[in-house]
Amino acid sequence: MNVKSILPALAGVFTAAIVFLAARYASLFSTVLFVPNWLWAFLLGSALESAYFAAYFLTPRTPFTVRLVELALWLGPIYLLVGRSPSAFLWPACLTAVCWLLARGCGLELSRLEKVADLIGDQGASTVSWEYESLTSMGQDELALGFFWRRVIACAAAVVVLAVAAHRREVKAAGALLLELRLAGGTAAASGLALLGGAYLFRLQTLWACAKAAVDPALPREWLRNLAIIVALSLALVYLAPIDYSPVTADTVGRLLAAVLSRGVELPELPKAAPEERPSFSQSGDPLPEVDSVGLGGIILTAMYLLLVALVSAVLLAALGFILFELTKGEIERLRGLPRLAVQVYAAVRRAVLQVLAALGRLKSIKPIKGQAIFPGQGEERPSEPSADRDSPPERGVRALLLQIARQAGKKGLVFRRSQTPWEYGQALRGQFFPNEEVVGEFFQGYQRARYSRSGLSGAEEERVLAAGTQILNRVREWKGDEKDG
Amino acid sequence: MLTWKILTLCCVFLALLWQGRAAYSLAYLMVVLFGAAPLLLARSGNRLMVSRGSRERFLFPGDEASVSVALRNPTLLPFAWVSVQDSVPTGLVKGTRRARPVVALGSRQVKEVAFPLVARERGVYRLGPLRVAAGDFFGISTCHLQVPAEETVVVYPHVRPLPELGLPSRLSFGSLKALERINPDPARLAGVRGYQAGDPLRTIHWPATARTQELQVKQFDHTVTANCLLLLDLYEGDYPPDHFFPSVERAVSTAASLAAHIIQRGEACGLAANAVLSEYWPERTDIVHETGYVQFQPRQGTQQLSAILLALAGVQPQNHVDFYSLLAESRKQLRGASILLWVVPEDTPQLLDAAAGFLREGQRVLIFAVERVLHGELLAAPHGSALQLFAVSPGGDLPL
Repeated sequence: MNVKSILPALAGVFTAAIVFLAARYASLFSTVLFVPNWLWAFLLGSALESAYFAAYFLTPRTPFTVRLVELALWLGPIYLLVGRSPSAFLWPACLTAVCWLLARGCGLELSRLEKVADLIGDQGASTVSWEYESLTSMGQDELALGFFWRRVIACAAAVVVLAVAAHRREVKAAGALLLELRLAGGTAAASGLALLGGAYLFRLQTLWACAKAAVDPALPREWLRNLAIIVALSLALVYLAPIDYSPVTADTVGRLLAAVLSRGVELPELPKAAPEERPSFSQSGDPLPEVDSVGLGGIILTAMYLLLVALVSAVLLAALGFILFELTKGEIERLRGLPRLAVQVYAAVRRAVLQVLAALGRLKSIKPIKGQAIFPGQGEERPSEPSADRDSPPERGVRALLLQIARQAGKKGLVFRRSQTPWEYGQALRGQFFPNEEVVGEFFQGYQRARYSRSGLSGAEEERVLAAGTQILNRVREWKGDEKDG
Repeated sequence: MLTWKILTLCCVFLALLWQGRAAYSLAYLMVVLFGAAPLLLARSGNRLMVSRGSRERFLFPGDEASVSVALRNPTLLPFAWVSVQDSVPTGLVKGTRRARPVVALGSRQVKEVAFPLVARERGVYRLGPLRVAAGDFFGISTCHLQVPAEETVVVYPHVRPLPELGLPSRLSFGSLKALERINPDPARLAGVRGYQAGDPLRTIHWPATARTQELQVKQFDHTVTANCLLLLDLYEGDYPPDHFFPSVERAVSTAASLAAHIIQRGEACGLAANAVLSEYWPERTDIVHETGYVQFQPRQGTQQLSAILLALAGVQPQNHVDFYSLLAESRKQLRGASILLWVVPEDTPQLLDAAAGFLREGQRVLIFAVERVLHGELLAAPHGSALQLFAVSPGGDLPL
């Protein structure tokens, strides 16, 4: 089954549905932006033509005039249909051109997906790990279909912004318009998801062909069938899942902020003001609370409001930072002022999330070790394992002693630097405190055996090393000023 | 992925703040795609059941086979694609590259994928572990598993008819004509004669009786069965370094062909070799193998033949036990074995001295030189001689 043949159609339907939705929502705000129903056919037609042309025929050598003629073929009839009125022509033409361009991008990306050689370079077929290549084309953070994901999410976000704006301005769509919007929304969601799933299959098929993988002939059919089920379930989720249940909304936050700000402004003046001179912005006409009634609760509430404001600001900044980070490809040195702050907030959030994830990962890895400690003697049964060696008492004792020595010697001016190995530190220690004494050598040799050798220290050896270490520690403690020991 | 997850969180946050079906829908879809789907895929991937059709497989050189691996998805979540990669040794790979089957696996579906094999060289091979990768429908995440399911593939050595090895086709071992007529061998018909009182009725030759109208009885040769013991020299120092592997393979193939010839004639054959067994050789209790030695007691039957061929599939040359040590060690095994077949690279004078010792003890020694013949005069020794030398030359005469 040739998946590529249906992908431009999906791209065209998705683009047309999105542009149609956007146009319908825009028409709710102004009658000037109203679009006639017949434009739907032009949007769909131009999107399909553009996507198919780009996917199959467009090359870098295609003359620019061909592209202009191609667009003019769609705009010409629209001009005639709107009665040759330039003002009436402008908005439908703009929508058609946007639709045509968006679909063109999808078609071009499909043709790019086919050029797998550009992606995998000169690798032999047997070395192509398409499982990885299919996912990471540019980096760990980049999805295999990054272009399509960005396109679909951006289009959806634009429509959501328009829909939310309409919702908040209480511009109600009802009757046939509501049905139209729902149908177009469902079409956009279904075709977008199908486009993403189909494009991924197309990319994998290209890589499979390159890697000479033995693909089950039934795979594309099963893939598309299962994808259809997933799309249907997603649509059911979109239409049936509960909405508007959040107690904290933009309205409530706005009201709270307004209340806090108004209090903050008016509180100092309240005692002086007469009731009849109260400001007129209090719409309810209720008297503002007295200063004494604010109390501790009011302060806590104010702090919570401020915290909420800070949180919302941080989220908005992080979102802005994310967008800027993506646009600048991580080159934040170019940015100044607020954009730079936004990127820094985004980087901090990202770092924090990574640290939390790393901490969770560490917790997971610690769990089995704790489990081992529950059973006494289990470590002794496997002395050759490094973990058992690390936890064995001799090493802990000797290492702890070295730490104490280093701490004491650090106080006396001989700091254990990160660049030094324990042995080098031992040499420095000998030069500083113990010239011509073998006790340092004995301790540090013992330390190395305890730390790095698989055999570790026997009981008698351990005692000797610990005794030498204790002797060093005492001598370091007793050492005063420039007085040479020994 | 982290970027997309952060974006999902932003969408959720904004949906909660802004309200509206559109904002919630986008947030729901993002949560499902970037939050729930990777988790579900990882969980379902861990529950994916992968199993092999068999644990052991036996092939002759040139045979083609197919290893099947069953994939079972016990969950409700369908996998968009599942790729299986088996660790097939190079000597078994059919074609120029390893097969990498890819299938779609629906919910609660079972599928089988096959890996074609071709047996090129003698040996014991281990297939596995299996590397399985599964992915979703949108390229968001994949899960990777390594399944330690292993399968042993034994490729027997080449067993050729004796003439192909340049050996006489009527070469006979084992049963010898006995000087004392004690045990008649019913497998060796010597002729018929007239019935005499006391002859057992089961020896009556009914067709001859019908033809002559007088009772005729069958006469048999009287034989004694002498057990054969194959001694295979796989000491690395005895083989020429310039064509080491062909010589070793020829020696192993000669030993396998001789064992097949002897056992298919109904005679007993054992094996002793100064070799090490492949690390993947399946554990068996009917073989003695210590460091540097592989020994089988002489026995009859196809079971013994398959055991010897199995051992010869896994033997590999070594460099710390020479052939004379093997001879000394295998003297213990010689009880009842009176014909010794030595498969060696060449008939050195030291080897002939060692053979002389065995001859003095009344045993027959047949030497099969696979690389070079130094004592050409022994090639002309009469059939039945106590010491015989044969030149094994599948592709032409050996250099003298």
